[in-house]
Amino acid sequence: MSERDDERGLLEERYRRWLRLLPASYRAEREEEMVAAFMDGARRAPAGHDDQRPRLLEIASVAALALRLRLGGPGSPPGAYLWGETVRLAALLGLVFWTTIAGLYAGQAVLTYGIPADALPDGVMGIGDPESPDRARLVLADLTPLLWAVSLGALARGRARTAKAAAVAALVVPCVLVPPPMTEWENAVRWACSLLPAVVPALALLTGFHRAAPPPRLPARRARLLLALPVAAGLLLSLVVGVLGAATRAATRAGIPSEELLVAAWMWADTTGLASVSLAAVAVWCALRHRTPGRSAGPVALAAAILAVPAVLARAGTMPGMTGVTFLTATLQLAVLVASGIALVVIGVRALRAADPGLTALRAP
Amino acid sequence: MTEPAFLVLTALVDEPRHGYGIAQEVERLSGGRVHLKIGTLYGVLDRLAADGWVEADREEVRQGRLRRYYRLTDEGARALEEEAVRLADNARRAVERLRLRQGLRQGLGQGLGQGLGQAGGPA
Repeated sequence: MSERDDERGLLEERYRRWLRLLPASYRAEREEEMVAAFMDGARRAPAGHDDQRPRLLEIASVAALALRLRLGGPGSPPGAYLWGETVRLAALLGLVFWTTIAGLYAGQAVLTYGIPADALPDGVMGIGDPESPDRARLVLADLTPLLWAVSLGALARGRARTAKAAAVAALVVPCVLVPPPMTEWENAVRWACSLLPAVVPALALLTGFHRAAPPPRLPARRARLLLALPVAAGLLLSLVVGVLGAATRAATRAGIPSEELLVAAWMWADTTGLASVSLAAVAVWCALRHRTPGRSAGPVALAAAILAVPAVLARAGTMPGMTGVTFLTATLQLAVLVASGIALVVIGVRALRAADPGLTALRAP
Repeated sequence: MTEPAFLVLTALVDEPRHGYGIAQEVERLSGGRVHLKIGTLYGVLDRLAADGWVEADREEVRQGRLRRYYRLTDEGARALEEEAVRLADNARRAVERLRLRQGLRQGLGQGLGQGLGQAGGPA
């Protein structure tokens, strides 16, 4: 066998390895002709081209095809459709959560920067002088989560591309406005962990909705309701936080030490705290629904379980260095998140087995 | 209909082609602008097959490799023709508007020139 034949054999083997990304049933049907097409393309590649390795763009196109096939839309095999629905639901739940956070941050921005009253404690007073570039940057950073609301609104109206663009902007713009602390690797890891709960729903949105699985276009009224409810919940939360702050300030003035209590209470109103409460609520809802005959909580439970993973990592990753009440609250949140995650996985898998034993039979011992 | 789908259907108008043959023909038809990657090509073929616009024609084994040929169905040909007519109509309207704009500009230029000539002429 010549050296050239060896090289081609190696290239073919590497192509086949990448094709393993595709579902087995699809590979059984298409692998041979796809390999033939790859090898024809490699044969006609320009001189000097490294012909032992598949080209990056070819690999990316196979990976994209694999994602579309594995996260199927209506008309796909049941397993692929189920995973597709789960990922799409994870995107939707994530967008609803981040739209609530957007309402909360926007409300806090108004309270912190818009009202020149000393209703809030010192810790949340705005940074930078009024009309200074720093102030403008921070106000903008507090308002950028509203891009999640734009994304949710677009998705509800069936505009997947706009929804995806807005979600990516919601991830990137805050990093530009308030650059992450990259001076020490510990800070970088902490920052990366805190970003995960936003990255995962964005990825679910980017991968779950595609040409074969477009988002349904809700009637305008329902879409408005889907958007207004989380925004209103977030605004309400910001008022609660504001009142809490004012009460603590009043208590401190009266000589009652309450700072620790305030910090513990706030930790339930920040992103990770709200994620713990929300996921616990979804777990309870799924458990109740699971017990009702004829109603399946499977896809919602699995979607929420997907979102529980980054929330656990975010909580655990930001815990080092915490002490006292802060550490205790964070530990409690971590316990709530882990328990909710486990409950959601159990409910999800049980519901799936009950709905279609064939879907989980392969994994059963 | 997306541009890759349009070009794949066009590539199959004259004869059935296999995967890489389609990718090559699409590149030729688009003047080298559209390079379909294999994963993308098979994604497009899946969608077109699901719509009933293309179907498998035959299989050949060449140099130990399987080549599956695809052909355009009658339904696919109708869909392609409708899309081609729609695109041609759009293109025609765009050209008409551009000519009109050009004409208006020339007319305006001449009118302005005449106006200036009269204003600058002997009283």
